[in-house]
Amino acid sequence: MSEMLANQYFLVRNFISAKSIYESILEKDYTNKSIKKKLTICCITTGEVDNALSLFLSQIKDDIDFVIHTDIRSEDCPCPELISQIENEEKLFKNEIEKTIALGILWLYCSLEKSIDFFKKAEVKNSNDNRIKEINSILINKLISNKNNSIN
Amino acid sequence: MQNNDSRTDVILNSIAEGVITVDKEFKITFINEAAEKITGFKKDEVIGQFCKNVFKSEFCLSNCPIAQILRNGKSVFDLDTFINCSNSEVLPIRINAAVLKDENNIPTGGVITFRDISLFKQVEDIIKAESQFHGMIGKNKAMKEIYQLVMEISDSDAHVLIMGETGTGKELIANAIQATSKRKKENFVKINCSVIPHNLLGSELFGHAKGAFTDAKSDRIGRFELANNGTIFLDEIAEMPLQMQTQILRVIQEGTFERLGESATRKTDVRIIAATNMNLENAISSGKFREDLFYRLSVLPIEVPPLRKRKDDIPLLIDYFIRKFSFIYKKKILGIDESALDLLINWQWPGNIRELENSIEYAVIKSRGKTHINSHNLPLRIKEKVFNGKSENKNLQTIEHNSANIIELLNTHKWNKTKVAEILGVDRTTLWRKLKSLGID
Repeated sequence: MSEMLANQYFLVRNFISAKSIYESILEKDYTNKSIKKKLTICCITTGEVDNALSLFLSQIKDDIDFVIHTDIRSEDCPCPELISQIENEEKLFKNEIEKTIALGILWLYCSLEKSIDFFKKAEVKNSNDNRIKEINSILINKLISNKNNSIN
Repeated sequence: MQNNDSRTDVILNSIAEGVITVDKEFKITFINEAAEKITGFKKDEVIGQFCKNVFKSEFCLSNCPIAQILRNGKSVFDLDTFINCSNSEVLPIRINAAVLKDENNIPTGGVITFRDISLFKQVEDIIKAESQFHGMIGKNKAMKEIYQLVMEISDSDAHVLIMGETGTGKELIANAIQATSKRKKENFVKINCSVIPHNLLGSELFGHAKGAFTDAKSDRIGRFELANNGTIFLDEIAEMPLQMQTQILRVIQEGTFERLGESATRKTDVRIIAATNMNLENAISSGKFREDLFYRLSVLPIEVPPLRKRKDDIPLLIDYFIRKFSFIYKKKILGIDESALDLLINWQWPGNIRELENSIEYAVIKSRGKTHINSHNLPLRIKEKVFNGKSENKNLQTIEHNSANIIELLNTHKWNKTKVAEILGVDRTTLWRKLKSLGID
């Protein structure tokens, strides 16, 4: 199955079908940023928040700008509609921590500040997960660097 | 490279079919002028946009043709669907689609060609409303028997051989057989064996491997592979070279074939509907057609009668074609006058229904501002019959009113009735009837 077919599934919001193809492609080429970005979203929609969190961390460690600079409109990004579904309880998670992490991940495609808010809450709720701490650290550093750049 | 690209653009912009290409993300990368005209979208509005966001069709979400190809590997041919135009109008279109691949055979994009079929759809509605059986028009006994046979064989997978003169509607019968068969949801692939050069027919039917011949730049699927589990219509089968007939015979007997330039044997399960306007028995006698193939194909033979043998259907067909062409040419023609109808009924129609259709189209175009077609509107070759018809009538009047002259002529020519009929310009049977009425045996 090809990446192109997975892209079509992703476009029509058939995340389950897209996910299995993206996973098989990523097994062969773990550096593909575009696929990681989409697969993270697929994992959230299928309730695999732990997988999504690992993928998300790998992405932002590698190239956080690639996520932050997502053009919601031109990339037909499903994040705003997914955030709305989660906030309206149309999409349910196993527990509050997973919901908070999912929102934190999805918000980074739209707003760095909102994403940090959710990851801070997630860290409070689950202080044992080092990945959340690391994510918070990367996001905050990015926020500081953005502010410094805007002052300069 | 740029020159090549601009030349390609010129070519694509010169064709009447709409062409749209997308990249692997399904963003539009090219739209030709015909596509702009059909959809109303301008190039600047759509390049770089996701195709689903431009055409906003339910079809994009549930049945994207390129996704279909990516899933099953088969290109999409002549698929009827709808798109939303820039003015929100929903337009029926017929599309073909293919996936573009890189040198490693990885899909990198897709191309969709399409044409506006709204007029065609309206005509199709007329056909549906008028036709007696799957687009066929006719209540003649022989035609009714064919309709009956098509229904009777709907459960069968047996091969069919349709024989009939050119223009008798063999393809319509093939369509009806496919549409009523168990394979109706599978591919229906049509090929006219007479229009493809003999040296290319093998590649067309069975496909080829990359490098099989000079122009074989990539692997290509053949029509038999494309029709797998479905039906193939081999029109003008008698035009097929003998070597190809042997390969068809093998597909029928074993269901196997090889692509040109490839040694791997492939399997296919295809129902063949073949058609010919030639007398296959003569073709067998002269060594142009394999006898064993004839018997394999003619499991279910169907003989379509020529139009001259179903004259009772001519008025029905005329009426239908008048409606069809009045619609297409936006005319208000309601029918045909009696003298023109007589001429058409008495014409021998060597080109059968296709010739009748063309004649009515000609007449509809020619009849300006009239509600009925008359004999002056008909094609010249048929109109000429008016003159012949008048002289025949004149001669008939002569023999009706001048029996003495007929007897005299018969005596002069030693009662050779054929000769006398020829001199009088009437049929031999007309003369015979006249003599009978005079009590002369």
